[in-house]
Amino acid sequence: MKKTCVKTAVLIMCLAMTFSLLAGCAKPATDNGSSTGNQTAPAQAVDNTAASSGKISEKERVLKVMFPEHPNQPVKDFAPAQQEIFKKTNIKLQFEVVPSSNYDDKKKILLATNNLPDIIRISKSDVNDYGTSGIFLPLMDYVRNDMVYFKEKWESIPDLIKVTLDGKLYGFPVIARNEAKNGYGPVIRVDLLKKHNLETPDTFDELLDVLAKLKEIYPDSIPWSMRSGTVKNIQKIAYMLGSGYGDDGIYYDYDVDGGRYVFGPATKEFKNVLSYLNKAYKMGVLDPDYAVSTKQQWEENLTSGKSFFFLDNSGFGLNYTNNLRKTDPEATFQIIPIPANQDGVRRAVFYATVFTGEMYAINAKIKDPDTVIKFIDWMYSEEGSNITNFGVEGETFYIDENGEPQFIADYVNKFKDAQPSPYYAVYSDLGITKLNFSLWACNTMTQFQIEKLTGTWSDLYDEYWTIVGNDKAYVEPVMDPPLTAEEAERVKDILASLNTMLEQEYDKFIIGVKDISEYDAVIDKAIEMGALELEQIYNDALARLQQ
Amino acid sequence: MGMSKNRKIKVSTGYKIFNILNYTLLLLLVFVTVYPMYYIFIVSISNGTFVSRGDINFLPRGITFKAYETVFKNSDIWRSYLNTIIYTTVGTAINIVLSSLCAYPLSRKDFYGRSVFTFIVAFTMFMSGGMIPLYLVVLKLKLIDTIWAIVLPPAINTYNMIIMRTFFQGIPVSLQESAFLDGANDLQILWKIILPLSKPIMATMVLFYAVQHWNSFFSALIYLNSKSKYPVQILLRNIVIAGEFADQQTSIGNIETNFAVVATNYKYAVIIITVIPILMVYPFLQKHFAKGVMIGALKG
Repeated sequence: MKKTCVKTAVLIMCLAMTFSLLAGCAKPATDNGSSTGNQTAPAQAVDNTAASSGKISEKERVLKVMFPEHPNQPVKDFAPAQQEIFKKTNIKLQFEVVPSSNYDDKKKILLATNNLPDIIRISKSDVNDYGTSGIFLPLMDYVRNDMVYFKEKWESIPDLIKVTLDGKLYGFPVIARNEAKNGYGPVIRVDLLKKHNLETPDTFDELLDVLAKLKEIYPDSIPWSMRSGTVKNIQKIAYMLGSGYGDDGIYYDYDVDGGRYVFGPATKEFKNVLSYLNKAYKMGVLDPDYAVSTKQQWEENLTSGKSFFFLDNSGFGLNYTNNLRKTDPEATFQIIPIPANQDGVRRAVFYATVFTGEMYAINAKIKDPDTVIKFIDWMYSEEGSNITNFGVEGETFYIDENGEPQFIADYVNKFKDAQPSPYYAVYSDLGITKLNFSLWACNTMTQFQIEKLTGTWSDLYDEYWTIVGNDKAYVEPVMDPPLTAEEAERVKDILASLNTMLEQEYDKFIIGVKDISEYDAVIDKAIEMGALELEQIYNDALARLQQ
Repeated sequence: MGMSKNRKIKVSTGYKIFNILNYTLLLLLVFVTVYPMYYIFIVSISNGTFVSRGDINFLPRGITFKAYETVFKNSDIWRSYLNTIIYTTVGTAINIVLSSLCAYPLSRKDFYGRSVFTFIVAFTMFMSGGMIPLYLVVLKLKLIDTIWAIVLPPAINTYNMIIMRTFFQGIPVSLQESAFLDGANDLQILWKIILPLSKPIMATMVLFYAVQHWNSFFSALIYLNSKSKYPVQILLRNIVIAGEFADQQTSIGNIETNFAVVATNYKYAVIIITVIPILMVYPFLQKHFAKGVMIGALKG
């Protein structure tokens, strides 16, 4: 007994000694410099070779930028655009790219451990979660006093105020440049309509009739295919049918009380959405597997000629046309103008084009923030934007007579046969556009130019953009107002239980297990669970901002 | 199981039926396991037009190696492939050395405080500090963005180490005692007696650890910052997963003008390329593998 006691005591002492030793070892490491001091140290002026005046940074300076990398557009180190930036500004951008599939995981760890690179891509919700923690540099004073190009944009786009938190700005929004607008829309096989003498549907009811006729002609077909589940499809169609869904049910309706936030599934109008889908289901027009169909199955249906209609990202129609024409040269998917709903109203929402939700925050511990701010401001200038979207003037683009940048054909045509597409290859080669580090960023503008130069553009595209452009039904999306931390928490709480309840209901009404008259009970329950409180929170936040 | 001519026992009908059923079932099982791999392979060499229509079932159609061409043209893949090989070899070597150095003392009955140490080691299997503390440790040790952040934190897998310890325990103590009498010290005993007798478990551990390193992706994601250091799994995951979400709201930004290669072909080609090395190694280690795990288990 005594022996064991002694043994244990010795053991404990041994352990204690080991731990104290370890602790002793660890200490100098921490004293040597706090984590961030270390991380940012190499980012500061590294050597003093280029000391030319007139550039944004007097000395050569490295800035580390972290953003997600999209698989279609691999990011290169120090691509021509970044070399050009270095030439003009003396700032050397060093990219830390993270696969887009897991960008959020890494970002969260860096934010939680306060170990940020100099500049980091964040989303609007990160501002809500981390803005007050002091890890981002507050930018509003710089915008007012030191910035020229960004200030101009800030003032010309009043909606940008919504990216602030309590009146403070923590990230520079990526602003789209000259973006073609489109949105979710109805796309149909127009060649079949012509072949069978069917009118282009002008109302949503006519749409079902047309699809039903096609089903009669092709009994094996599934006229209307969907992908990615019920909720995703309700999001796409609800606004057109007179209700709305947004991302989580709460959306801004221009037509209610002169414009306010509404929780879609808790309104009478939402019944129209469900009964319309129910009608489509009963008529055999809608894919019976609509609720579980994957993107791949959906694509298979559309490109094998089994399905004739989808209401989704309307640009896809052009892809599927290309594929269908391998076997059927006449086949054509084309968007149709938004049909009128049961109230005779045509409405749809554009994608968010001006501000897509991405921002770049600056590490609060950065040295010499003035230079960095000056640099960021330059990124919003015409010169900065041209470089970050078109590359090197004289080599890859020129300025045309209207003062607009244009790609040089000889350069672009080198990528004619590139995969997955010529424009992604050009973007990747130069290190440009919104999937790289650009603050006034192009997407469709550059894409169209490249497609026209490489001959991948077709008349169908022109037709597509004309139809979308002439369709008066589309309205601009409304950016959500910033919520306070408590509000955001409350919204999260309500939505979690509310949507769990609701999402179990939708399919019952679409398939017809429950009659639509029973949906009133669901509305009551949703209101009981806080649907109106949600509306209140959003509308209050909006009102607060407008004051 | 050879059919010997002078076998006397008559095979009953029931036994025959059982055999037929058995073989059918097992063949089905083989099919179920092999088909997905096979499918991925034939899709990766088929023409994209057929792939996107879902026309591929048992044979490739419109055979083309364009997907592989595209993959191989991507210089990132080669670099990260090399990185993966480095991480796997260095990592596995560290694993094996440290695991056996840890397992051996714990297997010795005369090791002072053995149960306490075993308890402390085993404790980590059930309780861990979690992601953020681990990240901070790696950060403060200045391992971020170096190979050591990938190979050092998982240096010993407790579970594997315990299997190893159990195996060592099965080696007769008398062998060690006689070596000791002949003047060998502990390290010599480990090196000259224990390890040569432990080839099956070593082969198993090499495989376990190597596969773990080959597939490891999350630690690389969070500890590495430079793209030039990424292992191939990060690329693979980005291609396979992000491809799925690419279409959500990028407006028209997703038109693929040339359908010879669609995303699916490309994805599957990358999967094939990353899986092949492990598939090639496995048959050679397999015989040790079954033996090693079983011996450990029985004696445990």
